[in-house]
Amino acid sequence: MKRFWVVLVVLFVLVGCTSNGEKSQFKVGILQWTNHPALDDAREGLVSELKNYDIVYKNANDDASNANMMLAQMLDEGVDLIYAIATPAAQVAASQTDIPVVFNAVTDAVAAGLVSSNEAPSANVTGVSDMAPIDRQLALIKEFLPEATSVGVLFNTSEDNSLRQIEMIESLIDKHGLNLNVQGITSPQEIALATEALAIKSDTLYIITDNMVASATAQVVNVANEHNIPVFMAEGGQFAHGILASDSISYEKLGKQAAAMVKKILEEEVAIADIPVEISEDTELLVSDEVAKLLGIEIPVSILERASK
Amino acid sequence: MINFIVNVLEQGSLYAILSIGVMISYKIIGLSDLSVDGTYPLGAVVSAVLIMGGMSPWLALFVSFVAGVLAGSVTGILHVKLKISSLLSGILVMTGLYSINLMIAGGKSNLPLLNERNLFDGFNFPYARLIVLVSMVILIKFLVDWLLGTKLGYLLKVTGDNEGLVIGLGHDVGLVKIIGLSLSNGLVALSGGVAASVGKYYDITLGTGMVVMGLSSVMLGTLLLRRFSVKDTTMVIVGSIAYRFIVALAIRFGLDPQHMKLVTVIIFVVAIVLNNGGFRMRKGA
Repeated sequence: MKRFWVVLVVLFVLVGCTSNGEKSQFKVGILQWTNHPALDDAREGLVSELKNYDIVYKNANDDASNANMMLAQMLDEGVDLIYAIATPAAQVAASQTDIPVVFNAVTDAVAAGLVSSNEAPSANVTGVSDMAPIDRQLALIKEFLPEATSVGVLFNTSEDNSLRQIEMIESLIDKHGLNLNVQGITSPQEIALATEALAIKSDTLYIITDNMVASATAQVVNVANEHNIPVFMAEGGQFAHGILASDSISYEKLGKQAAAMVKKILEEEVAIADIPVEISEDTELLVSDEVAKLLGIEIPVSILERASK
Repeated sequence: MINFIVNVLEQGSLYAILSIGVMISYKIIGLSDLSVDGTYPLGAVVSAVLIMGGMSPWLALFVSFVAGVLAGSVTGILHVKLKISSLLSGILVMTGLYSINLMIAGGKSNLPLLNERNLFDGFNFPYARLIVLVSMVILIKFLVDWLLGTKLGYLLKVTGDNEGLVIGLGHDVGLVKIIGLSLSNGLVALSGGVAASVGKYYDITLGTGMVVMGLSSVMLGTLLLRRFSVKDTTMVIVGSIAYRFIVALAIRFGLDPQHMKLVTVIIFVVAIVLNNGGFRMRKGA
């Protein structure tokens, strides 16, 4: 037992030694919720813009307790601002500290309880929303397929984020002269059958930013291709799985937008209430030649000119 | 430094309640109960929804406990009455609870509690949250110690050691097991309810890995204090804090986050190996 106490004392001394970091310039603590290509992009985008800042990066691996401890340790190290990536990370940061918090990869910050309003955040929290530009996506579908009359959308009934996107699509779809077919799923096993059902009655499929559906992009594309219809997608991360085109948000660019907010808060000392929650400033248009050839679709010149690859 | 220790103690206390629950099913009645991964978020979502609906957080916490008791009794009934193995009963209840938790939250997988009342409102002294959490843990410890000293407590312990003896005494082993699992999951859900107030949000994924974490705390506590004549509950509380301390150190020394889950398993295995002989796996585990 004596040995146990000796070990404990030594460990505490070590903890004490490592916490005395010098403070040279602004220090930003990054609290990322989990490992995911989009979230990594959100981090790298910010870091690339804050070259002369001290960056402390912690990844909670989906674990609320880790996130709490990581946040406490970063505050202990004297960070000036927390950059929280994904909704739960932002919720942990917002609830445990009064220093400025800038979030990314949160779709609806008001619904997540992070800000009282997107226009004028009242507390210490603001950031960038990853809401996909649905209006532009629908316009792209119509530009690609002028003949199309219906779009099929698959969504996971347990993702709040997805329900919100469906509502937005419903409110915009008439404007583009399209009809919406939706199909809810509750588990990945249902994807094949649900896609089949949608493909029969739709001219094209559109994949929203739904975690369950996005993870099964290849499967959705396979079924759609059997029916010879193209698939459009809200984000570019899964583009290589056979998506025809995506006018998507780039998490890296969102990270850069967040970096601009960080500079405003720390360098220019702008009050957070004067920094509204932003959505993606610009999108990245991805178009696949291969998929277009496979499906016998001609890519309109107007689209080719805007496409980045 | 002081924040580091406060944080370890807060998190350790929060999960100590869960670990005492796990101790009852695993160490006292000798059953491996995996429903914990579902009853922990159940407790959190019940408290979250009730607090959002305007109920007092303390009353909501009590309802969380009752919800956990009900879920635990379902695991017990599946195991005892339908003769499904304890492992599978736990998995079934955990899986079913996923849907039930979603239903309770009205189809949502995440609920914000940032601007809602919580358990620590009204305590306006330094380190209020820590002091309230530690007081709760101590209160629960004494209640569980008291319970284990009653006739029911002895029956629970004997069920783990020697089922035949319980039958010989003319008692229903099945009923004792159901009561044990109910109590265990009640405490786990209570811990989840407290977590909703500490973290100020609920997410469907909160329960991931809770069984392993609770068991690790039980093992670690036994390892550290097995030579001392202290109560099981004390061991578990110390184990839970020690576990959080190790994790906090790993974070402090910049361990690659991708290795965190592996660290959990290593803590678990090392604790078992070092305990070998001092803590045997019980029958029915």
